[in-house]
This record gives sequence, structure tokens and C-alpha cells, in this order.
Amino acid sequence: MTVRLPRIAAASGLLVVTLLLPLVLPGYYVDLVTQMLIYAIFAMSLDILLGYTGLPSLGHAACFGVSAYTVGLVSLKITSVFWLVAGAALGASVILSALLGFLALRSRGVYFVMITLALSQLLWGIAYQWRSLGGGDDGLPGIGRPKLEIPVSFADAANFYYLALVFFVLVAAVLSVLVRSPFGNALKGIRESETRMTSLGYNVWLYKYLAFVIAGTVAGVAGMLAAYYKGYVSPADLSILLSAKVMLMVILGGAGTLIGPALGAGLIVLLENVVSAQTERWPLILGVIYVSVIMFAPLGIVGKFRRKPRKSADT
Amino acid sequence: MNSFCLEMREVCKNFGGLRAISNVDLCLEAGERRAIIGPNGAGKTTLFHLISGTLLPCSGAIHLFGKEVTRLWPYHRAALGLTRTFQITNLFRNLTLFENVVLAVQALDQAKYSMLRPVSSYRRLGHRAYELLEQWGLRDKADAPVRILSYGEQRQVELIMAVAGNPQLLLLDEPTSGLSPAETGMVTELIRKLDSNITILLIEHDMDVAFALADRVTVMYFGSVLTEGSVSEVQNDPRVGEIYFGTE
Repeated sequence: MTVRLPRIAAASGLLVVTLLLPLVLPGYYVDLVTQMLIYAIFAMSLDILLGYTGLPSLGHAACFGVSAYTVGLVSLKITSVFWLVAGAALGASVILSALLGFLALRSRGVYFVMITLALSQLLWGIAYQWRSLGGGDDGLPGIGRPKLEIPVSFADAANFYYLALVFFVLVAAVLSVLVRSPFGNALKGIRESETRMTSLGYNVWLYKYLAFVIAGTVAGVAGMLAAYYKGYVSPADLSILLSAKVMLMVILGGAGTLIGPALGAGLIVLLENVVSAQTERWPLILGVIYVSVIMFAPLGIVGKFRRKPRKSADT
Repeated sequence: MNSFCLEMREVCKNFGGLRAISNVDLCLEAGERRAIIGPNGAGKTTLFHLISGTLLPCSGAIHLFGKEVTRLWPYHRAALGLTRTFQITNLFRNLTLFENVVLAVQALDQAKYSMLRPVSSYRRLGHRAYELLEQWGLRDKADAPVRILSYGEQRQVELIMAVAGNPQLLLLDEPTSGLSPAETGMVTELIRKLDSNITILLIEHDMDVAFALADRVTVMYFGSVLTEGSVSEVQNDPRVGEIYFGTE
């Protein structure tokens, strides 16, 4: 469980590469990597629920989308000061996940999947119908890149990339401590056996609830960055397709690790960009990937390359 | 106030129309070792669920260490000093033995909600976990996932995790179920050697084990207490033989 020296060396090597990336890559690819970082944050947040706590949420896009919509609404109608917008977006995702968690955690297993799906579809429906507020199907276009009181323009692809990288490193650092903390340990215990955790003296509900709120908040960070990145929000940011996509990122990379979902996010974003240029049948390809992962690497890419093959199925 | 470690008064539990537990009175003194025996369906495991809080009684009152806990959450009762083992081995299968024990150790530690420090930085947790493993002779398996341990070892881990938090009252649900005779002997010996301050309530189908471990025995039959007494009293009670061995 301890972080070994080669790991630190690898991580700092990776950091140097990511810092130098915009200097060597053309703008289009810098944008692509930015997108990967944003979805990596999103996927890692779901993994706290799915991989660590064993809570398969199929409505994780709700927290992402509400945060993105908050960025759109606040920056277009109230203020464009970055810290205020970001604060409002994160606040919205905290409140939303606190509310959704309260409702969803009354159920478990497949019922939890269904209730999270239903709740997020409800929000999708509101976004789709309420034209006067969120623009309905058209969404909210025209969100400018964030403006900070520094002489750096985030309209520039490389600079926005660095902003996303800062958030990514922060989130990755916080979550990697979290999953090794006593709290994170307890989450893994809950994934393995709730009854045992209860009899040991853990308030299982509270742990799940806190995990749900933390995951929702981190998803909000991703949603906030995504809104700025794309410059618009639409009901697609709340859709089941997005929830399913992020779940696939986690499973493809390897649930229960942090590096796995980040890797999965990168791969899916890359594939989506390549495939979408050729065909409109992207969801079909996504489905094929999903089936293949379940059949050939149920523990994901990271699980496949772990030293010892694990006997049991994924959680 | 009284000196009872566990006190149950007129406790009833119905599942729909089925009366699983009816008017059970059960009192354990501190340090006592009590076995509950009775044929299948007598309500022994339901009684455990009521004591640990997994199920709530329909009527009656339960006191633990002089405090009323009838409707208290299970984790509150655990914090008071109550732990249990499971009839069907219930461990964190994909975690290592060390991680299993650490989870048991940190359960009653103030650091249990800490999020921003790795668990390895809490020396007292790791130290206590290794100490327990050392004591139970499983230190060299610390890094093995629990699922690859032998069944006998897993039953031992059940016990280690139950005593990790220094409980006052320990509920053992058939600690030797499914074990070979040799393993049964070993586990019986381990339980006998537990700290004598721990009050133990044990469900056991194996009469030799029950009579070897218990000071007193409570016999349950169809949800009620049939009789209660010392080992020899129960052994010589004709009614016990009747319900237990009547069909033989």
C-alpha cells in the first residue's frame, strides 16, 4: 500500500512529459489531451463509488451536468469572475449530490443502479424541457473561457490545458490519499461486506453518503472544466449516454484503482474522436468495447496487467 | 442499575405470522461464558440479530452493560463493546489479512473518518494489527488475500477481528461450523484462552464444544427458553434429551 520510490519517479517523469506536451503537440491534440484530463477527473470520481465503495451509479452525469449548467447560467447571466463561477458550480454539485445520495442510498444493488439512473434522467428532462432557463435542446452556448486576474489568456489551448492539468493533479493527489486513508479503507470494507462493517462498529450509511458527496463534488470539478472547455452546455451533459460512457471508462481502465479510470478515460476520448470522424455510430462502437472488456478483461486494463491474476470477478 | 452484561426481558420477534422469539428472558453476568443450544429453527441466530441490532424486537427490552439498547443502531452497540462473529464466514475476501485486521482495529479508533492521511501513517493501527497477527500465529500470512487462506484460518480471522476492538461482550455464532475435528479442537482451545474478562455468548451445534466452553447453558426450543442451568444440570435434564435426541 505504501508509495514506493519508482512510483514517485514514474509519476514525476509523467508530470514533466505532460508539462512539455503543449510545446511539441499541435493545437488540436492539445485540446484532445485537455479533454482526456477532464474526463479522467470525471472517471476517477465515479471510481470512488463504483470501484472503492461498490456503488454502481448510472446517474453520475447528474453531478457533472448540473455543475456545467451552473457554469453556463452564472457566467452568462450573473458574473464571469472565475472563482465565483467555479465556487457556484462546485456548491451546486455538493448540494445536488447531498440530495441525490440521500434518496439513492436507501436502495442497493441493481435498485441503486435504477434509482440513480431515474434521478439523473429527471434532471435531463428538466434541462430538455425548461427552454427559458437552460435553452432546452439547444443548451447554453457562448460560455467564454475563464478569466483570472493574471496576464494569461485561457482562450489559448495550451494555457487552458495547463489549467485542466492543475485540477487533474490536485484531484488525483487528493483522491490517492483518500483511498489510502482510514476512510478509504472503510470504503473498501463496505464494498467487500457491509454486514461485517456494521458489526465492527462502522456507520455504513454515513460512509456511503460521504463517498457519494465526495464523488459528486469531484464530478462537479470535471463538469465545470468541461463547460469552459466546450463553451456550451446541453442536456447531453446530463444524459444516460454520458453516465454509461464514464462507467465504461472506469471498467475499461480497471475499477478499484485510480490510474485505471484515468487511462480508460484517455482511451475512450481518443477513440471517440477517431471514430466520430468516420461514422455516426459511436454508441455502437462503445457497446462493442463494453462487451469485449467484460468478456476478455473484466478487471480492466490495469487488472489485466497486475502481477497476480485475481480469481474473483470485478466489483 | 444492575451488574448484568446483557439483560433481555420478555423479548419477542415475529416474522409475519411466525413467532420466531417469544418472551425470552436472558441475563448474562460479566465474565460469564454461556452457550445457547437448541435444534434448528429454535431462534438462536434470530436472538443474536436482536442482541447485535440487525433486527429490532417487536416487544421487550434489551440492556447492554446497564444501558438500554433495544432500538439502538448496530454500530452504536458495537461502540459500547459488543462484537460478533458470523456463522457463515464473513470477511473482506479481496483484501489482505493485514487490511482485514486493520479495518477491525480502526473501527473503534477516532481516526476512522480520517480522509487526508494514509492509514499507514497511523502507527498505532498497524502496530496493533501486527500484534494481533503475531499473537494468533498468522503474522507470516499478513499480506495474503484472505480468500486464499484455508477455511480453518478464515474461522480464526473471524475471531481475531471480533476481539480486535477489545470487546466486553462477544457473540460467537457457531465458531466451529464446517471445521474438521482437529481444527474444531484448535478453535475451541483458542476461544477458551481468550481474555477471561470478555463475556461470551455462543451458539453451538457441537455439544462437546458447547459443554467444553460454557459455564452455563441455555436451551432454546421453538423460540422460547426451555431451560437454563449449569452444564451438568442441562446434560441431565430429560427434556433436553427429548427435544434434541428424541428422533434418534
